[in-house]
Amino acid sequence: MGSSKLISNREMFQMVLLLQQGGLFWLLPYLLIGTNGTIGLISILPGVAVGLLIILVCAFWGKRCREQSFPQSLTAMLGRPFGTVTGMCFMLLYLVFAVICLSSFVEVLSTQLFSTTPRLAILVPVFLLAGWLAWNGLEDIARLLILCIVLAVCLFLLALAGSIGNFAPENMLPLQINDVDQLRQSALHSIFFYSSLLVLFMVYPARNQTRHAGRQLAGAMVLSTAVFLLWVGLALGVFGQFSTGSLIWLPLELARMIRIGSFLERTEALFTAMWMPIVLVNSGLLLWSVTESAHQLLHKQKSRWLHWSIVLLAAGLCVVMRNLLQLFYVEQVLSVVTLGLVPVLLAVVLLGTVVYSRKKEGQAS
Amino acid sequence: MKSSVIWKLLPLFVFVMLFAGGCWDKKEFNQLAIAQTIAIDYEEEQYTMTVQLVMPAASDEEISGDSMWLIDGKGASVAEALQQISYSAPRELYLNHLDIVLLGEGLLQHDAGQGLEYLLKEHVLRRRTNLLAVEGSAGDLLQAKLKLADVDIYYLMNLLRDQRQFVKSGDTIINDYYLAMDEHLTEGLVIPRIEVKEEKALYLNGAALLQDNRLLRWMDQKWLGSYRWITGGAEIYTLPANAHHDNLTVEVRKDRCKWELVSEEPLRVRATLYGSLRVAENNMQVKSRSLEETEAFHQQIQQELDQMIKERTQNDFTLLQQTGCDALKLGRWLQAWYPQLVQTDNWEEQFSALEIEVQTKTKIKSYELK
Repeated sequence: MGSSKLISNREMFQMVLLLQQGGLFWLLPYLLIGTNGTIGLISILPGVAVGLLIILVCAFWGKRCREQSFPQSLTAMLGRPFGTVTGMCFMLLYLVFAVICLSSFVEVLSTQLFSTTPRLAILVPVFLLAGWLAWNGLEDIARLLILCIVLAVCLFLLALAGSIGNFAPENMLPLQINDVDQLRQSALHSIFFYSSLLVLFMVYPARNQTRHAGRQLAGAMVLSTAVFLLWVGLALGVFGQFSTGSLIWLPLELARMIRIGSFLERTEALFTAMWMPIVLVNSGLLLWSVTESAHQLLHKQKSRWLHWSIVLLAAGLCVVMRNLLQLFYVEQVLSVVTLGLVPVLLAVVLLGTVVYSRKKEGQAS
Repeated sequence: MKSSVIWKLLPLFVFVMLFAGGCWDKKEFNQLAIAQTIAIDYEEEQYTMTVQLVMPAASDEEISGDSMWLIDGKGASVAEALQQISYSAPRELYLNHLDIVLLGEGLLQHDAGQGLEYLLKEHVLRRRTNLLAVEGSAGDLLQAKLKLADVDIYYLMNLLRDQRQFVKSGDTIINDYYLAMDEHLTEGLVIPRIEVKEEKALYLNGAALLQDNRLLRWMDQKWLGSYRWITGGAEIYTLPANAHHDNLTVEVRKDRCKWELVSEEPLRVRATLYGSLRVAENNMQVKSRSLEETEAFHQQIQQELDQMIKERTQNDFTLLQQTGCDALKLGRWLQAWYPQLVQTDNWEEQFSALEIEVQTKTKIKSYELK
């Protein structure tokens, strides 16, 4: 399954472009701005650095182990037991990202839009759809991304048009660090969110082109970051530093400023409905990475039982996080864990790739 | 249809069924009491909310006065007052239609933010919701029986819309409130005042000047005219006849006011007013002019007007500084670009002592010839 060449470099570019625009996008601005205001945005730099490192290592590995899927190559590079453990670590990280992505979106829907609807009634369809997308496979997800990019551009233009009358650059200034600890925390959060790029290890072998995509992916990530900064910059210019730091769902607040004629009132509902495909595609990709890893680590063919059990597990984890506070707490713990785990995993993959490729060259000669 | 396609479409159907089949948050139109306008007052440690409700029947083709109701509720907090209203409303209260909030004098003197914060967090209001100040009880204004028309959201919105033709950024929205009150500087906020005149009609007349979440004072229309002169808008002038020209009507449109720092010690800023002029001669008997004469004529008018605008604006700045309240957001501009110059704890005094130069840059956009 993993060795099927399904997607093009361009589709992979779009994937990375949209990865930060999914469910994680709803939460990150609040975690970055905090009490530091505009200057809090510099804490995105560690995340960008980690993202670039992931792309670098992924491209390095992809160049040398193209013929195999990622879990297969892990066992080949590191040996069966250690390779399986490493593969499972990656799988757990994918699961965690998928759960956080979907949980934050479910939280937006249940607290902001559907206040009387039981949380489970929102959670189940969202997970069903994301699971169904993941089941259909990487190719379907990649094809859907083209629509999502158009939606993302439209939504940004909509938010810009709705807010530009209230935008003032003075609201974004002055730049001053009020809380250094908060800055450190924000850096951890950004590292956690950018670590979701680890899914590239699963996607990279599925490219149907021999030309390597490292630079393209790095460009996509930088562009995605620029778009994210534009969103947050727009919010800072409209709401000011203090208010922006206290608004949890920033895109929704920007959507509430949009006025479309005198008859359309709940523009945030329309906005969220248009954003839903982006979130579903992102979480579909993350869930696909989990289930695909599981299938390959367990050497199984495509199994409904395994796939939907994993989706059920992800949904169950989301149910356990009953409110926003718990979501924040879990995310905070995970951000600390990721800081230690991700560099180690990348180092393991890097070293393994170097040793494996030297072994292969030795055997070839 | 192939079975594989059916399996692929089935989750989509499940999703659509769950959301379209009558979900928990559905709202039936003829079971709602739609709030059009809301007025918040505060008196004797009690919040009073007055809500104008529309309760349409499914068969109604248009909403008439018969389907409009006024309900009020009192409580120790806005939440309690709202709860009282929902207990007495005959239908489910729907508050998402609100676009204007009337703030009574009592609330403005107590703490305007207390009234807004809860409603904002409950998604009743949006940051783009308009604010209007009422001298006295806002609930009484909502209940006023006027000769011209009933007080409802359409009347209020029309007043604001008419104002927008002449005044740039004349509306005050909730976002403006939070921007003014969140800043570390003591900044003023101007909320347009609405009042009933001789029981006939509603008028936008003057404004409430707020500082530190509270009403500082009521400002009359003359002060508001000066304030808007600086912040942007249009005003009609008549230049009397003199040796150079006949009687002229000039519409001055101020586009923006650009601030520049002139010196740090003493703190001096320059306000450059950009605007356009539309000139019309009031005299039917206008002698024809050559192109060169017309150009010289335009320059003459422009110089006269620039001088007049400059003097007027200088006086208006002095008037604003005398109030000691920075409603021009000058402090915000200074703090953004020159934070080292701003004394955050003492901005009121600093603003009053600030030297402001005025410069004008206007262009004649149109000149109505006979």
